[in-house]
Amino acid sequence: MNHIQQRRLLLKGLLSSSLLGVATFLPKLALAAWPKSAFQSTTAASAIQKLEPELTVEKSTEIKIKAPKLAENGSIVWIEISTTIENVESISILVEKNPTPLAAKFILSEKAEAYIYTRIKMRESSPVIALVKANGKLYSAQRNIKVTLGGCGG
Amino acid sequence: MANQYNSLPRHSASNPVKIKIKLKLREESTEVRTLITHPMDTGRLKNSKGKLIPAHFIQEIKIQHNEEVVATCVIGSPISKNPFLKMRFKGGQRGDIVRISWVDNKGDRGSKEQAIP
Repeated sequence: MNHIQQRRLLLKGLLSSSLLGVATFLPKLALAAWPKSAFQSTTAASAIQKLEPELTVEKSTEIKIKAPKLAENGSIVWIEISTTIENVESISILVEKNPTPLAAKFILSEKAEAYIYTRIKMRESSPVIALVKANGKLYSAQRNIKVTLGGCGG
Repeated sequence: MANQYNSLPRHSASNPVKIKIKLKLREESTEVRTLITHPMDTGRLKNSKGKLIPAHFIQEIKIQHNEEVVATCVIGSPISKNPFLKMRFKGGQRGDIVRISWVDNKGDRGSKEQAIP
C-alpha cells in the first residue's frame, strides 16, 4: 500500500515537473535574443554596458535626434534618430531617468537606412540617449526632453 | 499559474492584436510605418483595485522585405502602448512583399504581410 502511494506520488511529481518544464521553456525558446539584463538595468550606463560589454562609447556629432522640446504627455513621446555614420548595425534608445532606461534596440540590415522613428514613455524630464553601433564602435548623442506629465505609471 | 488571469492569453479571438502597415515608395527607399495594438504594460502600473497589472509587452518586431530581414526591433516596456515604428529600406519595388511579425513576453505572436503599392 505504502509502496503504491509512493509510486503514485513520484509519478505525479514527474508529470507536474515535466509540464512546468515545458511551460517555462517554451517562451524562453521563443525569446532567446531578448537581452533581459540590459532591459532590466536601472541606469543607462549599466544598460549600455550589458548591451555591448566590450565597447566603449564615443560622443558623436553625426547623430541627429529629433523630438519635442516639451512633451505634454510622458506616455507618448515621439523620437526620430538618424545618422550620417556609415555601416550602422544598430540604433538604441535610452531614457536616462526612466526606472529602466533602455527602451529599444533597432538592429538594421545593410539595406536599412540609418533612420528610426518611434514613440517612447518617459517618467519625467530626462536626457534621452541615442546609441549607434557602427564599424564595431559605439557612438552616442543625447538630448533633453522636458515632460509635463509623467507616463511610466508609478 | 495560480493566477488565472496570467495564464490566459490576453489576445483572444475577441481581442486580437491588430497590425497596421503603411508602405510608401520614396525616391531612394521604401518607408515602412507600422502600428501594433498592444497594451505594453510595464508591470509597474496598478489597476483600479490597487493590484499590479502584470508586465505584458512586445519584445521583438521584425520587418522583412521579400523574406529578407531588414530590421529587428528589440523593444521593452518603455515603448509606448500600441507601438508605432517608422523605418526605411533600399531596394523595394512595387508589388514586393513587406512582412511585419511580433512576439511578446508571454510568447504570443502574430504577423501580417502587405505589398508595396
